[in-house]
Amino acid sequence: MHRLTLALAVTALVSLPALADWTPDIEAWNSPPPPQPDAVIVRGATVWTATDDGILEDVDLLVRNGRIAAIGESLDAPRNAVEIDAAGMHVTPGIIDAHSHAAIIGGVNESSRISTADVRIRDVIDAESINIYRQLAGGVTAINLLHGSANAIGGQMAVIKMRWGAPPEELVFEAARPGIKFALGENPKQSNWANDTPRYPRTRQGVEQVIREMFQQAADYRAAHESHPRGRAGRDRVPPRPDHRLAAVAEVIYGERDVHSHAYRADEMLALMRIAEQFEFTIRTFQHVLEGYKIGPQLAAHGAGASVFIDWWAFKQEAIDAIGFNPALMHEAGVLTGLHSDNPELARRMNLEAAKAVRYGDLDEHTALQLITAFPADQLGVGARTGRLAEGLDADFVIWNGHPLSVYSRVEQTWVDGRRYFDRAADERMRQSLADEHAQLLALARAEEEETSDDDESNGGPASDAEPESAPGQRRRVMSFATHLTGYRASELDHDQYCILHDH
Amino acid sequence: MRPALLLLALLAPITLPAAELRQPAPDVHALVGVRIVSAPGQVIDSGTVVIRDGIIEAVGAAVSVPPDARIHEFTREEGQDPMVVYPGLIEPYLPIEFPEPEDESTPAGRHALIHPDRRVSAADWPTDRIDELRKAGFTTALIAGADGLIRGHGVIANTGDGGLRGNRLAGDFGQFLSFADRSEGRTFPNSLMGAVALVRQTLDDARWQAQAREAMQRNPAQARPEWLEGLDDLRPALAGDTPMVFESQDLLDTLRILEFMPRGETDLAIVGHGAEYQRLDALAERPVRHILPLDFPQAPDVEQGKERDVALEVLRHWHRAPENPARLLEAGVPLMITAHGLSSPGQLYARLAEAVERGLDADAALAAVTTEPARWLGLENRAGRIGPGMMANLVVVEGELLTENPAITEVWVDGRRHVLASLEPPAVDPAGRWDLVLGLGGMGDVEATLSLEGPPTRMTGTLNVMGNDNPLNEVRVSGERVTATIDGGRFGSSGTISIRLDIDGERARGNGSGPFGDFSVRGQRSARPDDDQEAI
Repeated sequence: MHRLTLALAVTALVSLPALADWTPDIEAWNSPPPPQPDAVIVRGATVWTATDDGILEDVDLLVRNGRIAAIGESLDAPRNAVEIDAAGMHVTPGIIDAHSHAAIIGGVNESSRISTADVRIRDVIDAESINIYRQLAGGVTAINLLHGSANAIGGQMAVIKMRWGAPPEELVFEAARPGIKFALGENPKQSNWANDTPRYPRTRQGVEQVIREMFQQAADYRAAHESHPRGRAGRDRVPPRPDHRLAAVAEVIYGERDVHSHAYRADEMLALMRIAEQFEFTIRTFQHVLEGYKIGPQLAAHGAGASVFIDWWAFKQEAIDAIGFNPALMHEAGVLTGLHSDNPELARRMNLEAAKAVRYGDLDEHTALQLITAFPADQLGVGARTGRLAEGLDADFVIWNGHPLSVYSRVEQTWVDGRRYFDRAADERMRQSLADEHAQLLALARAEEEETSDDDESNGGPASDAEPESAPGQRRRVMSFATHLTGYRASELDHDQYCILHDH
Repeated sequence: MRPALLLLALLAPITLPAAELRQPAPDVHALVGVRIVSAPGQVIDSGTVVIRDGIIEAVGAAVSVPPDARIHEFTREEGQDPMVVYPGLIEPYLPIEFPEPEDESTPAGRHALIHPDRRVSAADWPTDRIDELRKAGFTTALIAGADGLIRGHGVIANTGDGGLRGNRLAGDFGQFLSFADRSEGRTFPNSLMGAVALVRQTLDDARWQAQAREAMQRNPAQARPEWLEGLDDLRPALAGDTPMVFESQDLLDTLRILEFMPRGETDLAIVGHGAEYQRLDALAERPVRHILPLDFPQAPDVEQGKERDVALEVLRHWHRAPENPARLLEAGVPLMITAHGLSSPGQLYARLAEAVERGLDADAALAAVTTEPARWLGLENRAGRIGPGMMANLVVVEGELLTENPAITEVWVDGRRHVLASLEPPAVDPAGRWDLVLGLGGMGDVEATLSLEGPPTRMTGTLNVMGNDNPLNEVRVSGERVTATIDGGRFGSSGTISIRLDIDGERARGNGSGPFGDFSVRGQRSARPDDDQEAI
């Protein structure tokens, strides 16, 4: 750890001068939401429904007022419909990433306490994160923003739709079930952390004990609040003190808030399911689930879903038993299985993650696609709104120029709520207008510089190198550990730093 | 010797006699023959202001001067700008840092970032910053703590001499908050979302404590609830009796604050960040009072060949920031303007002038530093305007106040006159290059070159220290004296560095002062403008 820190510090020194202040030219605040046409008709595409209907060839997809109105052959469309000729193209549901930290500002982990159930990702959604736009370009239409895995009981999650340009509150996908991050294994017990400030617990059984203890405290807390008399009688009694941490955990054991628990090893997943069954609720999903294939039947019997990496393995001790066949095996065991990114870069290529599930485990292609669409949507409780292409669902879909599981295919358009948020052709046109804007502003800046040097320099003259730090947004320096990534705010990279220091 | 002691040693001989030279009472003054801007948009071309015992007694064109008044006349020559009297400016946000406590440990039941019960005491009086404010024309300020997430109460005070004891107008104004602070290391909260959660829990604890106390009073025969120290101080702000003042870090933070403090419950005010123009819709929908800093970004370095290094985002903000105040006001957001965020409060004028040039109504600009904060602070009948019964807080300026570099000559606080510059016509022409030695006492001597150009009435110049050219903010020639100021930000410190030189032919001698202390200056002219041209 110390050696790693030293290495990072040295890297920082070496690479700092090379860091340009480069940031993306587009910003969310000046990207107005695209219009929502009354009707859109996509003609002649191969449609992957992610429903029992499977893959339909040479059909039309009709969208009205943001919802899917019909899928079928030679559909009639209203006269004013936006018509898209998709002959030779493939249409899939928008990709749902059930494990993301891509648009969180000010830290992905509240890594202080063993339970931070009171912190809310919804408070810190980063609507300005360029990840949103980049992932739209990879066909992603909704992501689950999760707290990190530093605590046995982490923070409350937020599911957002990729409505690039909207302020944070308008990104929130209200239909999603409330949820909370839990974590088991090396991270909450801080195996890979510096030992300077040890925190209880330091073992897996300690983590289990802490969770059980929190559940009991939360049950007591809820009981105290519910037994407080209402109305006039209540006014004369001292009410129990509010505690947002316990209140959130109480929602868990009352089935009002879903648990999405980071877990690698089979034994600790079995342990958490046992606690949940004792408190009579269901673990909604395990995240990563590297050893899930060992306990497929048990996961299925409990009703837990699994949100997994397909081929991340052996990157730390508890990941040593991971296998690429994991998702296929769990799916076949009847576990609601999906693939996640846990990484803003990987999230742009989720279709290839799905393709690997065909390679490992020989899932059929349509089922593989469901791993990144219908199944994660079901895990987040939004399966009745998105993740499939069927009449009445939100018009969240992707138009691919070829087979969606092919490395040669790319996203042509991504639609969310019947609005075209990404369009490859429009993006290319936009580059010219951005270049023009840059040139115009540069010319203005030059004119001003000349004026001040001619006139007087009472206003401080041209910029000293100290000033840009105070620019709003603070999207300045890329952290040293992530010099290969450009265009992120420092805070967006908190998670990557955490991952590097703690091996995920 | 520690720097603070050195500073004290330097200041001691200067301040001691001054304290004994106070003006005699009763204090009756009449400023006659001045142009009076009594409030934004209200101008008396030539009139008189009568001050008695710190209060304005009369204002108008036809006011008779009382026989016991000391008369202040300002002789003007043909072509000179008139002397104008403005109401003293009000700084709606002066955050100060409290000294680190000797004992670092936090008492049980308290969080190190939560101190709603903190008050600015006489010992916290920020003398230097108050002096700077006054020199910039501010006569009243709202002072509050800058540490932690919940920062305590503000105090409203004038900017005269005599510390909090002599200047306090009202205490316990507002409750100050921010989401910016973090605990160190592995202590909660070490993330932004943790900070929000802690503030949320604390506000709910305070609400609970109020409820619990009331229940206990009605029915004492029950188990006594624990007492959460400090949280009772949140009650006035939670009830909307005093403002909840949130300092915002950026646009997302502003949206977060609006979401966090629901409409209606409290009297919310937001200290802004300068990029509000980015999402005006959200702010127009719920027009929360803003205290707006004017720390516009400096022009990006657009050197040839490095164009691509200047991000579009940086250019956009540089271009649009100066129109932010105008846009915000257009959107219907009530506006006050603060000098907070500038390296010295005197820089406010240049920024205000720029904002006016970019669409801000000039009267609205003046209101944002006078009548608007006066109303917010509950001082509408005492400050922010020039009228009978108001505190005699005035700025006397040669010409317009809201210009890039206003020539403020006097600032009056509570009827006490603070002379900044007595203006005489220039009697020397100091143009040229001056080789100077700055004597920094125990820190040794530093060589510097002062270059001055232009006619004596309108000079500009630079001060070269250790190879760096520093543009002068302001150069003024009055009689045989040259006064020059430099933004301290160029030397990595806040405040202004000023140099006063008495010119005697080719020689100059004088002194200077800056955030780091006072110093002596001496030297001679090494080149006149003509010489320079010959050299070229």
